[in-house]
Amino acid sequence: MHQSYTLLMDAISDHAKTQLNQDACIFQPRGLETAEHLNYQNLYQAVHSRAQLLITLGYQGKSLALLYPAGFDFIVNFLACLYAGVIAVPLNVTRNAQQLERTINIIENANVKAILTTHSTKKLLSEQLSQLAFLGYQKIIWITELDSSQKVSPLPTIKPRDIAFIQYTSGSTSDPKGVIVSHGNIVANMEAISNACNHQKGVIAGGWLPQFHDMGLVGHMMHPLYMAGTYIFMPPMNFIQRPSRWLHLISHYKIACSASPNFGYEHCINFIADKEDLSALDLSCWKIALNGSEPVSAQTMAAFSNKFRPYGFNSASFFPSYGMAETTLLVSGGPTQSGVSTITLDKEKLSQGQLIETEVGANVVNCGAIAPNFIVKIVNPETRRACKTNEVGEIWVAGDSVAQGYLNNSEKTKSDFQAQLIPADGTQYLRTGDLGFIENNNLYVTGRIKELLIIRGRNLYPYDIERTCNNYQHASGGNGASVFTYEQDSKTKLAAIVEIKKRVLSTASQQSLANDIKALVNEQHEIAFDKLLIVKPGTIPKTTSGKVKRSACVELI
Amino acid sequence: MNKAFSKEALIAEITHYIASKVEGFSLEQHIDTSFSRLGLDSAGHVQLTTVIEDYMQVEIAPTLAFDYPTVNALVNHLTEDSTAELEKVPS
Repeated sequence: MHQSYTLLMDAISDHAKTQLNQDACIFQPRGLETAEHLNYQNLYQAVHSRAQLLITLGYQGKSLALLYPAGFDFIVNFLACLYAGVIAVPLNVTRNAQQLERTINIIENANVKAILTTHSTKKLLSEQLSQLAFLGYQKIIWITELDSSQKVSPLPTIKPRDIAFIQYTSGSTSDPKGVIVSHGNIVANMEAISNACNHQKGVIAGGWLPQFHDMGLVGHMMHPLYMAGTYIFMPPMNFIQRPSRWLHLISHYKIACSASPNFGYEHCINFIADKEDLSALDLSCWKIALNGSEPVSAQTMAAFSNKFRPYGFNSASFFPSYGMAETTLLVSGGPTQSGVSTITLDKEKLSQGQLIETEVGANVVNCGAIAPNFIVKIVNPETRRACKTNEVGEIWVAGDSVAQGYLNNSEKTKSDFQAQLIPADGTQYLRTGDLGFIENNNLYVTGRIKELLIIRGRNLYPYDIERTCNNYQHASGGNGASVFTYEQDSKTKLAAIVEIKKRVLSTASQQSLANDIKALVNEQHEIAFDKLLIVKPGTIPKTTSGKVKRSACVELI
Repeated sequence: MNKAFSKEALIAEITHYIASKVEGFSLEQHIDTSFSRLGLDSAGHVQLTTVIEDYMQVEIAPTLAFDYPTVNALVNHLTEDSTAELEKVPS
């Protein structure tokens, strides 16, 4: 059990009184000797002092961007914004000028008044800025650790409806989408996560996820602090560099809950060599291995379990979940220790949007029980009528965790956050843009509406077909396949581009490779491509985060 | 620091790794070609630093290959610093 609070900072202030010496945060970039600790008393004092500065400088009610490398500074400044009634806009520290362009767009879109950062990050970013023809460059106000004030200003009274932060979610570079999250939203989702994960006061959570975003921000950082627990973390790049660090972190600090998107688990499978010394590892403490943010692969989960079972990992700890920035974070997950379960559905019927359970067919991962205080409906996206129980439809969500809307986009806020059923039931819903169904209060997600390929009367999920192509023995692997539709002679046709290993390309005939792939896809999905392009690795256009740009692919064929 | 560390061996380690990820990699041809251009993805850049770290037994920033994005630039940066280290040792 735990105490509920009205605001996150109410919780942290309380913990600073009742357990001042307890570790609130532990930052460990590499080995044990690099660990830094921050207890509740010191955390609170730093936050309080920073909040005073922000108010003195006049930023209450205004937006500030936060650009920090992983560390305590981000935590302190983010919480200071919440405490001071400043709207926080947490963002990624970019590596080059091209990536910075997106940040600039966001800063303009969010009407950011100043940038909160460290002195050294400021130098890095100033360099990048000077390379862009950004006119506002000279006018940027920076606030770093070098800025302080002795002045004492009264802290404002925060109401749950006040905006806490803006979460930027993947929109295109030219059209970033800022999700408006209120103080009330934060607490509602803290409670939802507690319930779903059956967390107790003092929970130890954390891992490698970036602090400024989604699962890392709400799940790893804010949640244990709300629960008087400990937030333990490392920089994401250090995980990519040596994934065993994540597992050692969990083992050493007895982390009970650590989340990662599917690729993080995949990374451990592929890049923790058998020769690595894992003898000190004991993962039996890891009760919730949350998997969210991207489609969950039962294959990955099984391989991960096999590899780490000798080190105490229990596959029952897997916790597939569903959520997004628009719902603050979690919508469904659990019960704990349920592991990965799937439902098997008739493929043909599924492609027609119908659910018939079979022995052999398409396996859809269970994304867990819908958290309490949520209303989730499965709705026909065209007619806006609730679907029958055996139909796939769009997932609509209502509840106190649902965010306030998109910043500066009243049109999209109305269409996406204020949707009404036909006939209306008095509730406004968030349209997630995801397709799925509910069974026994468990949520299943089949794919995104926008990505859905509707061809010759069937609904196909590109992700599934791409996976088949990537599993082909000569495929260069990774994200080397793109499946999409195109229009020709007023008909919708199906195309694919598949990257093949260079060496194979020079020896085998394009025709035989294409035939192999066509056969595989036909076998598994009973669909034929109208066009199939075999290419060398690196041809498929991708975003900076490595996701395939399907729309750009149409031009290639 | 790996006492047996030598520039040639370091280049060999880097070459071996890149060749395993990028088909058709040739040190002669590609010593000044950026890793991205060769087809090495983000994760590949970071893993390169793991390989270097393992070999040199010194902490290497995971982002180093982004800052010094060719074999030449990377090796020069890494050996420059250790030359400075060696100079500190009294003869």
